[in-house]
Amino acid sequence: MITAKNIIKKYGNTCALKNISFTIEKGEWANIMGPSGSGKTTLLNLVGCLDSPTEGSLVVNGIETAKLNQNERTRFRRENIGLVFQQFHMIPHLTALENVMIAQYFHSIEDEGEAIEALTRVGMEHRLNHLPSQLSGGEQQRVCIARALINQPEIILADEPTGNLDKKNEEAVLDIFRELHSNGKTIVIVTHNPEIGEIGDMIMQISHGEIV
Amino acid sequence: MFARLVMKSIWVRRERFLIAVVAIMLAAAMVTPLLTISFDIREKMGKELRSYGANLIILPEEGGSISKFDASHPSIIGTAPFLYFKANNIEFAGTDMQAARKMNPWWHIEGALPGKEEALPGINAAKKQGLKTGDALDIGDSSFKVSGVLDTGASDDDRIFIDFEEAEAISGKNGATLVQVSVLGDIEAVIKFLESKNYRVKKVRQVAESESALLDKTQLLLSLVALFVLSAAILGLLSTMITGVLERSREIGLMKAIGCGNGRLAAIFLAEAAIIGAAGGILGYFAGLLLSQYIGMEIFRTAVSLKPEVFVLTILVSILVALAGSMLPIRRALSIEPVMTLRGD
Repeated sequence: MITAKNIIKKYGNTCALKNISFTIEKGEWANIMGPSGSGKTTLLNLVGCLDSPTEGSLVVNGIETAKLNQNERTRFRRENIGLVFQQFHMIPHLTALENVMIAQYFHSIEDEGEAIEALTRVGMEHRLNHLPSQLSGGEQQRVCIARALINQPEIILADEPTGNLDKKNEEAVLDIFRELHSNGKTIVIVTHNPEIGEIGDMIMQISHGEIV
Repeated sequence: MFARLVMKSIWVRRERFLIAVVAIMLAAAMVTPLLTISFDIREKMGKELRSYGANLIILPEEGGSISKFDASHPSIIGTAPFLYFKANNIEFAGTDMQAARKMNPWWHIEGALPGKEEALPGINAAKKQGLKTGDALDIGDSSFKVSGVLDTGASDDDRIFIDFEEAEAISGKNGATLVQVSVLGDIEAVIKFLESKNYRVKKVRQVAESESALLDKTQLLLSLVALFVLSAAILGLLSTMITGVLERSREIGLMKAIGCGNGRLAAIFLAEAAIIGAAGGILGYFAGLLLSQYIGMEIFRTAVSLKPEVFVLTILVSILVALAGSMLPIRRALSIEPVMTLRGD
């Protein structure tokens, strides 16, 4: 599903990732762990086509993504990837429902019923018309997960999805990921949390831009 | 979703939106009088100038006549043919009475304009021949009824006016011996045009020239002001929208991260700009209408009418200005890399 070969990512003279190679099979749950600044998020951004590697090959869902331009990467993300961020990242003036529907609109055509269903799946059916500022962190994260899932992507990428949540909300969010995993979705999570590390099928420990 | 996205985006930034609308409104308020002068005042002045009378007299070549006058030049706004002849020692003038009346608005007619088989004697001719309204006048085999008496204060008072075709029939002549022409615009170009058709041309009045020059100057002045204000509006909109893009960079980055392509992103910004343009255009049109009325009354002494084409063109120009001002901000928005804006949390 995801195969990286000798990936190097440089920012100017700084080498953020050095010769990273790995394979994540379809349906696997992979956790990327390591200290702050080790390159975890950089690696996730490359897998999620938010950025492209300086060197190396990165095949995601059968497509060599390393050489895609910005427009092609956007199209690829739209079709294949669901993204969940630590800071939730919702459009502040759109309601929970609209924040989900916007992903449908960018993908193809919006379907309110389907969006409500996705929000119901993450337990947010009672907060459809609330703005992000009216939602708690856990609720915002669940909306973001609904948004990430709405176009049925094969791969879910999450950057510290429970980093800003309390224990209760963390469990609720992890339950959703467990369910997605059991449904055969490929999940890659960047986390500091050793408890999440234990859940996945594999752990990639990164230090100073290298897998250790 | 598109409409919701655009309208909500405008609503949350309504103060910035209002500033942009005001910038466009000022530009539209300048465009409206400019267009009004082009479409309405120029037309009205044309009509008004016709009331000043003919400003060119056209004569045929020596001994000839003008049977079909070529008035195809766009600056020619009216013509009246005259056929002068003598019969029974009386001076006659055959003309298109309606056209002649328009061309000579100072004519004072006691009675009515003559129709077919009617005659309108000048005041001196009426006295000389002892004619009054309702009398019959025989010329050869033709009989005419006097419809009124004409006072021109000029040599036409010695003539009896009848219909042009009847004059041709009585005199046995074909075509006009003189054509009065009213011109609005470049009178010299019209003279050149007519001389190229072998007519002899005489200038009568300078009024049209000076009025037309005043129109041209006012139009030029308004064009320059409009150009400056339009440029200022583009710059105002550009800076407002650039600031907006900077403020929204995280939102734009997020939209791109979740799959918003450049086309859709540009469409969102273009729609916002078009709404700003349309709103500014509508408000500016009404402000411009007041300015147009002022200019019309103060400079040209004529009231301005509502012209649908001025409204449509003002809105179109306003939308185009708004779109022009949004081009650079849109380029900036499209160049935003999602990874850069979402980083640093």
